[in-house]
Amino acid sequence: MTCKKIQKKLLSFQDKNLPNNEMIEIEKHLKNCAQCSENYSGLIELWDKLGELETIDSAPFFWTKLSQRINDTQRSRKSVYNPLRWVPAALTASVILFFALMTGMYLGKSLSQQPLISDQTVIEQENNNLLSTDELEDYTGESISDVYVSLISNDSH
Amino acid sequence: MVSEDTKLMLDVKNGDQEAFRELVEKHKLSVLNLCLRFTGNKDEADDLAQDVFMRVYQAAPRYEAKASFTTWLYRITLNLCLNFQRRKKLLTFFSLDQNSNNQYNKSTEIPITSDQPDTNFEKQEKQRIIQEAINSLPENQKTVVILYRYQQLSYQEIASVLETSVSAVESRLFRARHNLKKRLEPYQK
Repeated sequence: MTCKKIQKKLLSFQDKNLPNNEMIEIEKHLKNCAQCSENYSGLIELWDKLGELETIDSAPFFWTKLSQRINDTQRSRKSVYNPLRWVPAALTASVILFFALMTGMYLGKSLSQQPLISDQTVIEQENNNLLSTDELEDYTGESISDVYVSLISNDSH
Repeated sequence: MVSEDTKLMLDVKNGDQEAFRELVEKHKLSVLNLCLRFTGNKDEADDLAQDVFMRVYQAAPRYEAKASFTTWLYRITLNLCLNFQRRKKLLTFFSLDQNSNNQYNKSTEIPITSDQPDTNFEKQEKQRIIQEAINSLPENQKTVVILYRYQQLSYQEIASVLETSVSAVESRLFRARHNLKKRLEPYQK
């Protein structure tokens, strides 16, 4: 096997994840090849270095905390299904609804009692205008534009 | 043939609290250390491990022994760890506090004794460098390195946990070690 092939297999060699014959061949190669041997040593060193990270060796109160948490969760679930829990919220909602209805009814009533002053005033004015017309003037035979001009300038005949 | 852990989990499914305690005591250190590799902080690892077992407990009524118990447990743990990391990245991105970028914070400090302050400092610094090197890996490479190097799972077991092929695991591990070697080379003797 060439050095290039050996390099590719070094990780599997380190993991002892190769067929027996390949393991033996690579071992032989590493004894005779300084470069590959150095690369392999680097891998070993890296792997050892990774093992320097701190680990947790004991957790004596882990179960105590966990069982407390489980009990708390079960207790809060039970209270969700307790119908009495919802009484304050229902009461508040009823009070708000009651006030909203009362306000709506009051506003509706007060609006319906107000007279339509502005409309009535307009209608009365129109009626007065019509009634105040003494007579309809005869058509004089003038052009429409002349009639219009006389109307807007309030010329009397 | 059903493993002991699977039998215990099926007992938990039937409401056996003692069986659940037995499972927790058996696997808590493994889960804690897996969480520690992702959080870099003992307190956060503890909280996360608690979340893992809460999830296991809540999922018990729906438990089916399709995969081995440890495979299932590691899957839950990894999901929570990866979610934790993603949330923390987002928070760090929006945070103005520079200290929040350092995952290896005070909770992991080794107590400094009056006679060996330099050794302890050196040790802490080494661990910080290694943790940062691992954190610098892409998520999929980081996961396989942690499962292989620290949880000592086989390629097959890792492939099972990650629901991928053995060759994918080998490939990720290869790239991860290559990246770690590059990153840690300046610090090697």
